[in-house]
Amino acid sequence: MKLMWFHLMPYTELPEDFQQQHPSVWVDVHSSLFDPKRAHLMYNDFMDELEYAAECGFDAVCVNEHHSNGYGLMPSPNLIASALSRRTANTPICVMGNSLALYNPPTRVAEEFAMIDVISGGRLIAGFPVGTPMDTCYAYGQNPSMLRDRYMEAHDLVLKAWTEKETFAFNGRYNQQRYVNIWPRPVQQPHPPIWVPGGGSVETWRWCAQMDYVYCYLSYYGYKAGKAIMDGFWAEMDRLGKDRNPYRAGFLQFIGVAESREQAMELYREPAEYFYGRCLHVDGRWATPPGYVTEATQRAGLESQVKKAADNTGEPSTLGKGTQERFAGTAKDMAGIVDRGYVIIGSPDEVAEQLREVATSMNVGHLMLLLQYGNMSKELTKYNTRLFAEKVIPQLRDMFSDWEDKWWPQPMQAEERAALPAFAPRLAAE
Amino acid sequence: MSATLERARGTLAGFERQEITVSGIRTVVHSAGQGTPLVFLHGAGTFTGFAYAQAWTQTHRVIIPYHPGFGESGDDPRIDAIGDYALHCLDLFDALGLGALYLVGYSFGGWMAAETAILQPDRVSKLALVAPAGLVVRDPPAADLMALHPRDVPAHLMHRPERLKPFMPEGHDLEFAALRYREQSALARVVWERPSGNPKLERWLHRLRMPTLLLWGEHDRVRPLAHAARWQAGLPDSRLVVMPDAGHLVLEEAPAAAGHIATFLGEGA
Repeated sequence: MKLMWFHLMPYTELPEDFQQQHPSVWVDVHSSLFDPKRAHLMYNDFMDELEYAAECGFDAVCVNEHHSNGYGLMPSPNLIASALSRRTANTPICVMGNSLALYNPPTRVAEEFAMIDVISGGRLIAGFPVGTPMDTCYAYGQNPSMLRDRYMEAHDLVLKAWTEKETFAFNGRYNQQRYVNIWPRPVQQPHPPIWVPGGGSVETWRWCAQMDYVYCYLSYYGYKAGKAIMDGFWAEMDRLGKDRNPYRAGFLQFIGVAESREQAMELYREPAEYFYGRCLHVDGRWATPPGYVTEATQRAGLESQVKKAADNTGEPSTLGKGTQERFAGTAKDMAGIVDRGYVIIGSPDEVAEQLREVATSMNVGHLMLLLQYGNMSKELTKYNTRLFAEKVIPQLRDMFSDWEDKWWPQPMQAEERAALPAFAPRLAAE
Repeated sequence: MSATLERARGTLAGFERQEITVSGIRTVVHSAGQGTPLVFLHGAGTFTGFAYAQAWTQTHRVIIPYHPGFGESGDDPRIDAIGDYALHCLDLFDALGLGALYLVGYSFGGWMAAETAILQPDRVSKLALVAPAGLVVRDPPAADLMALHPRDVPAHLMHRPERLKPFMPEGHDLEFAALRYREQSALARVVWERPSGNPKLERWLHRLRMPTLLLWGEHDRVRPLAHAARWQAGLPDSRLVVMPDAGHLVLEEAPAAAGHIATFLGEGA
């Protein structure tokens, strides 16, 4: 079982009345809310936290890409990943990832990922997201009706750039390059492991199976909401005759661990309510750019909403509503957040037990864990991280030991690798 | 089919439905009436139907194709520019065996009509552009429907948004929503990166030598009336008719609007 530490890098000082005064945390989030000098401290705290997680023994550290986003300050996760390459020694670095269609030419991704892989001595996990509508179609102006096609072509180009030994010409619909020949080339051969974060579309599941990529479901709404998606994923793997190797899958989960459940409720209330109340406040205008999903997927989504409305059970219907209205139906108070499984909290034993159940029921070998969220302080983040590493990880480490993780980085041997003069472990000194 | 779409289809009562394949794309064409062919190119939404076209069938053979990606026609992801639609129209005219014709285009279809007629001006005896899109005007700019909040769309389409109500479904209408999504996706292929239109269109307007009618709603908030002057500056032989008390969907909102087209096409015939 792999337990990975994920940072979204949220801006931690959105005002209390953000939801009332501002239409959206994304795309047109107002620049006056951003204080660069405060962000200087945030970035440095966040990078300290990632390094701390690596020192604590998490299996990997993860970063991701968002644009014009008040809860994700990494338009370029590669900048953070390159710093982590120098500030960590052995921990794999998961960039989750680069939205391929946003890079022009996409060989930029092949180059930068290769750089990170070379600098880190082969520790990179290469994430290839399509990217959310907000990031791609609005903040970056991509045409939603051609985004997937562009993404697929970019993927083919990047893969070929990594694997083709000779200089080649690429003549696609969207990209034309007379001479493709990237330097540097990745340490990991033929290329770093490729992971694909996706929604619940069957097309993506099939493609991951065909390409032998890890499929990741990265939802902020926890295991209860994610179960149906992962069930669908495994049913599709069964249909395709693929084995049920849990390392085919990744799943995101928020965590708050403390001495007791009561203490966890108190400790993590503020950051969780900050995240679910302010960070996910996204304007409905950005929900469904035309063509972003196929007509079949759109239709299926509408149908399931119709069914939900007809069943009239469970959560309030979100039929025909944009992100904003759906957001209105989500829990924003700590009791609801915990009750619906967005955040798993408790004592180390309780958290371990719940995660064991989550991993077992969804058959997920890569858990990507958010132990910092919202406006959580560095102090609390480190507490959460350390307690999890010391008391929870040992209880889960043995899971899925019968399976081989064929999608994990294969770094260079330690004796081949450069000494990192900048790296001085601090944990021991504390 | 949903009640709303059923009603829209009902506006084509008396039309003959024809399904032809145009370079691989299933294309549905409705036609009715006798006389000089009048090809009507619809706008980016087909849900309001074609009630205004009935009157034209008294004097013309009215031909209403659904564009690829719209209404009952098939999809063609290879179409991602207005020029593709223009060439598709010419393919369709050939397939239907049409020679000289009158071309009427509405909004997105108006842009399409202009681009089509620029390619083969001799084929188009007269051109009517109803609140046409496509011409890039900096001031006042066109509204970007792709960037509007959904709640603001009705007030942009109609001068009196309540007039849109009869065309909208009541409650949740899966088929209606799916059609809108599909048509918006087809539109996005062409306009997402260039919501105002084709910056080169103005350069070629001089090729539209045929008599041309511009028909506009006085209160059009999508393509403001001021755009008409820019069209007229580039068109060799044009006139403008403005409908008061109407917005962008002028054919739906002003019952008299369709009659102005009939009058224009009937002159000198």
